[in-house]
Amino acid sequence: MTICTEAFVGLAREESKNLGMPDLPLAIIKHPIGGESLAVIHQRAEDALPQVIRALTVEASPRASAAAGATPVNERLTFADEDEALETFHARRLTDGLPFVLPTAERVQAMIAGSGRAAGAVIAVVPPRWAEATVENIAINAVMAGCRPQYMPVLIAALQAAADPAFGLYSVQATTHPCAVMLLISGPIVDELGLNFRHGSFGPGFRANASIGRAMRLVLMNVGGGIPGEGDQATHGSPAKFSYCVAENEAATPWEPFRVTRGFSRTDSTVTVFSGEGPHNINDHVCTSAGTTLTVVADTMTTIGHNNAGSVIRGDVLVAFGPEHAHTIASGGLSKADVQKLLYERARNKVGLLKLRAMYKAENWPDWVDQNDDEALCPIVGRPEDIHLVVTGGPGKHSAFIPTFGTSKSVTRKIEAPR
Amino acid sequence: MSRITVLSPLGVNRVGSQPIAPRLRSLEGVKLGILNNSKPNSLELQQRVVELIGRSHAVAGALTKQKPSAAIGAEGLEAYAKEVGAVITAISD
Repeated sequence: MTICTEAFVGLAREESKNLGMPDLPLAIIKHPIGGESLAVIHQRAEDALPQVIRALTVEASPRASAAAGATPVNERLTFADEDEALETFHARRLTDGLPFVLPTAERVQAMIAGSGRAAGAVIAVVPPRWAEATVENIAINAVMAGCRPQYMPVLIAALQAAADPAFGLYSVQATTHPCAVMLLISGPIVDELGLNFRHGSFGPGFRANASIGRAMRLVLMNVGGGIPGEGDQATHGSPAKFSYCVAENEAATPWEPFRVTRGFSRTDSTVTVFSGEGPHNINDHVCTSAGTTLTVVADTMTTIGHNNAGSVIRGDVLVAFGPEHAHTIASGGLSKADVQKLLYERARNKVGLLKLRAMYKAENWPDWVDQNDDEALCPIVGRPEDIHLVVTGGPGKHSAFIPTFGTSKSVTRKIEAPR
Repeated sequence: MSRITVLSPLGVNRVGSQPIAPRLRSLEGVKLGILNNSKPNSLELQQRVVELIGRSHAVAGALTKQKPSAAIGAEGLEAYAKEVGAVITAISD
């Protein structure tokens, strides 16, 4: 049986239903648990006690409203006119709240054709609803997001990457943390699709970036059930959850392209999923050397509020250099690996400070960190190569740091051409 | 005015119905499992619940299994299930 606070009943009920056990007993107590005194926790335990004993000893009666796997099947919806269709989608929470394109059969067929795959092919099973994302499902949401058919291969690869167990999509979707699923595109497809990688590369203003990122989010919501307050328990959410698709500025990259660092060929195109927070700016208009610029970068990364600070060995992070910062750093003769090593050594928090954030667990730190020494320094990731580097954006003395969910590793997939 | 037909963007959950474990006839002599998700205060809550159960029922102690992170699935659950008569989990925060 499961003890659950009032604020999490929706997620608990949905999850037990989606996993085929709608009658799993819950003991429901007041929220929250973290940050409360021991006296309050003991009172919560008193409140839970009769429910727990009952849940352990009395057979559950079927919940009439909770048929297992009761997610609606694919269906055609008929409306009097477009206005009624649009308003109904909004009312049924089938959108992200913004205007969208109605997914008529003709538009969806064109989108499916762009994938070069069969409509019914299952690309991923998406939590927390654990529903199948077929090519058709993805196409429907891509139409709604304003995609062009040629964007479909990117979306399919992105869903495959997000479904990799290393990414931990269930937790990324359901957490109270404000992580989004960020897509980083690298390779020839950037130019082929007209993805922006110059000024404003994190948005807005460009159809390919905006609609691909938005379609990913709509799949996560409509197929995966990542609905705020239901399958998505994010305390605040994030603007990054509307759309988060970034492309590499390969021409301005002084190092090998991102996909090559990840083990792919220069001729490949790839998409990488990160459980990213929104980008945090790194402003350095003064430094003229690699060392000083990286000091500013490392300082921006060294903060105890983000999840990577506590969940060190289980996550990775991304530093998105603006071309000018990248040039300054590379001019000092530093390779990508050199930069990763320097940042790994400099972006560290004091153990004593980390203990303030309570969610630290020594087993999530590298073994060599002395947890009994409050002055000891702890990195924000387990290895230098967990600090990923990419160059994106236009002119200007800015870079960006993207912390992640912390218990999630980025995953890269090759974008396959339509068959 | 012509009607309009559109496609639902929802996906299909194909997980079939799964049985849940039969409930216990009694708590007497049962070893209770505490499957803890490592979030702050969660272990204190679960341990207190087990302690309170022990005041009115002669349970055979508790066996705690702690996940390193709430976001990571627990390993070795089949073996754990054989060692305890019931498991108390928790979800929140």
